[in-house]
Amino acid sequence: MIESRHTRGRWRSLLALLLALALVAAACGSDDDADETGGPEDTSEDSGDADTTDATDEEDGEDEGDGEESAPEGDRSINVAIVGNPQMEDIAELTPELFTAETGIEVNYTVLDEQKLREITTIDVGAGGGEFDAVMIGMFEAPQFGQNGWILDLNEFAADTPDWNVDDLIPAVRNGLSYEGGLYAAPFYAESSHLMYRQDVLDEAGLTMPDAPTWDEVAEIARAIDTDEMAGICLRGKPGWGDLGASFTTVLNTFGGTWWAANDDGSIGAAQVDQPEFREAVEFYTTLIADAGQDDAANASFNECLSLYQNNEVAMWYDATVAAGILEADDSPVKGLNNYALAPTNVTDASGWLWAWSLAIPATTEDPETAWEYVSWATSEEYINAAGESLPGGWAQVPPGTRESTYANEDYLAASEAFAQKTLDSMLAAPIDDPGTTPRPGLPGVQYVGVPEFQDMATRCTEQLSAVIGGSVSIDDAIADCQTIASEFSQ
Amino acid sequence: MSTERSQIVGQSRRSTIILGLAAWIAALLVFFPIFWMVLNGFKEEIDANSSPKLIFDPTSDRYTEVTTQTEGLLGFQEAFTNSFVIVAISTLLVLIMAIPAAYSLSIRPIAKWRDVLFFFISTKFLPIVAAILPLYIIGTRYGLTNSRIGLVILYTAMNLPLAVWMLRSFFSEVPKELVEAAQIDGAGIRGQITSVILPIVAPGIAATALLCVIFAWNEFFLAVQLNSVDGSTVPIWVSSNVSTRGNFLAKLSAASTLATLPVVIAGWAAQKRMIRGLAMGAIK
Repeated sequence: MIESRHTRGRWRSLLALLLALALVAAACGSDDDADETGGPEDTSEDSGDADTTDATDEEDGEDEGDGEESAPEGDRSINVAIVGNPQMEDIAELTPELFTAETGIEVNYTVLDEQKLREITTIDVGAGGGEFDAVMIGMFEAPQFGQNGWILDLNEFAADTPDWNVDDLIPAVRNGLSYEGGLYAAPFYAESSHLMYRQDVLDEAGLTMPDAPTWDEVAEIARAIDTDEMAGICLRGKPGWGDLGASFTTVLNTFGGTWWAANDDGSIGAAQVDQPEFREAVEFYTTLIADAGQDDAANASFNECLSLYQNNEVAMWYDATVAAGILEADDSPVKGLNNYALAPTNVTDASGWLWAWSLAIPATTEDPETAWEYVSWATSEEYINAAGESLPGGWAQVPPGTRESTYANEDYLAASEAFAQKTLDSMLAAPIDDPGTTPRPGLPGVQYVGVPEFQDMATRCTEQLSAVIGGSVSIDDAIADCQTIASEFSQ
Repeated sequence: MSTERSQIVGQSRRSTIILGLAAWIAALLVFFPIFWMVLNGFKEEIDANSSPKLIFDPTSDRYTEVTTQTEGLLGFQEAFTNSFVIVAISTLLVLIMAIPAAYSLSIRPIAKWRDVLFFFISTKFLPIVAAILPLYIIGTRYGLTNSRIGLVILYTAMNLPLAVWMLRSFFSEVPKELVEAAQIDGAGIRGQITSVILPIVAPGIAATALLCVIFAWNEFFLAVQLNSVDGSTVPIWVSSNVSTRGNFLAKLSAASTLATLPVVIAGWAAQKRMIRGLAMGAIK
């Protein structure tokens, strides 16, 4: 008797619980997530439009009554994933005024750090999530995603948009973003690598840096000017394929080494880490840091070196060309004190890397035309001109490295006199198709090998190399471990 | 015997001082990064990235920067609203389900209650990263990505096993006699729970709720994978202040300070109850 009462009680509690859950779920959905509650049933008609922006939520709620199929121009909206970076933040701020006001297309940005952006876009594009109408990807991903059919070939769109002027793109950048003739991403901002140095420090020491130095010349100067207060050179030492991996791979290339040999079919061949050229590059890089490098080098990458350079704690710095714009900005403490040289070489003619953050349109987007309208605006000469006039930092702040017209623009050249021509020289010299002395597996790349496996291998190997820089692992051990890691991927 | 004892007393006094000092040093070490974060938030970008200085001209510009709303970008207000709603509802759901579960595992243990407890904790064995792709695919299919509902469900599931385990240990502390007395007085299950058990385990419930709040508030992995477009929470907003090219430490510190405030305040408010709750649970 008691038992049955309890059973009944239990059922009643369970019912109450379910009711509570239903109420909570309803409350949760009816808030400003009106779009989501409506989402599952009408995803087919709803396209990407309704379930996107915060800014448009209220309007969506009101306008949906009119019927979604014939959404007026003003209701179009797209989701764009971008990387956190000064130039991208600028475009996000200028979009409402310069793009949305003109076209009626709302742009909902998702800003992510580099690593997260990579994960999110890979999962979205690879698993066909369709969350984003445009994604910002790097030169490493663009041809690979294109090969996989995950993103759309932009040449067809470009043919219908003569104003976008595909031929104005810097050839090396365009090549790097292409796969078998298809252009898979539109470059928003591009960079090579070069050597930045304090002209005043070198003058004081009576030294001259050639315009196209060799690594031996750079090392000699770095050792000569190295003092307790000011290190000779800042080089990346932080583990990661895009950090130490990028810097070191350009040195490795020009020393005649490589990570893997290429099989005849372009697949990954035998690991080359145990070869003498590789060892020579590692010895050169780590010894230079030990002799004339910055303190705590094993934790330094772009931002750390930038701070050290701006604080007069290093006299030279080998890194991305985009840094010149920051060093010469109005608020920079070292403005006007610097000079620039091409990426140092050893046995090859050029060694600068090539990278472009670019906008691609995932194959899963439901509205590629609207996405292209945005992509073609964001990567156009028109945007660069408008940004130069609207941004508080002026012309020096516009996204560099993508178009030849930028380097013919007098306003830009006047604002970036100190580095514009040298940046362009570096971009043009970047050996995208033939970075070293031997064939590489996969797709073209300078500071990386164009195969997906590179990320994993280089991230693990640079842990070892960073430990050498930090002094906790010997070169022999690091090379042995790294050879084992790289061999895992050989086919 | 007495000398031995006095020696022990002497030793313990000295070791108390040493232990006390060690505890202070450990506490300061743990606290230092937080102190540094708060300090950095009030600096100019260039100062935050230069050699550490304790004396500087404080500025609130970074706070203004991170809280300024730009159309189309995830703003401070939106992220905090999303986080508050998701955390509050998921914690409430966890408590609604965990309290009866804990009751049936301690006060009136069901058959094989040990297996049930093990089952609960076993749901935490799978690393969440291994489940992300299925979660993502299911989420997109049923419209649960980029919505608060999706995260509410996941955070509820994530915290439930922990809450059941914690609450069970609190419930086990309730004297059986009290429950029986209430039964004899004619109290039904609801009566027993509301008038006898809940008042005794209230501190435990507060402690459990606070932990659930902390875990849900800080959760980043699922949020960023599933809700990067809409329904984005505070950790995503914090990470959107990271820049690959250029200094961001001061800005990020300001954002992180704002993000930690609600949890710190909640912790402060619940501190006494929570410590009592944790200590109570620790006995069993």
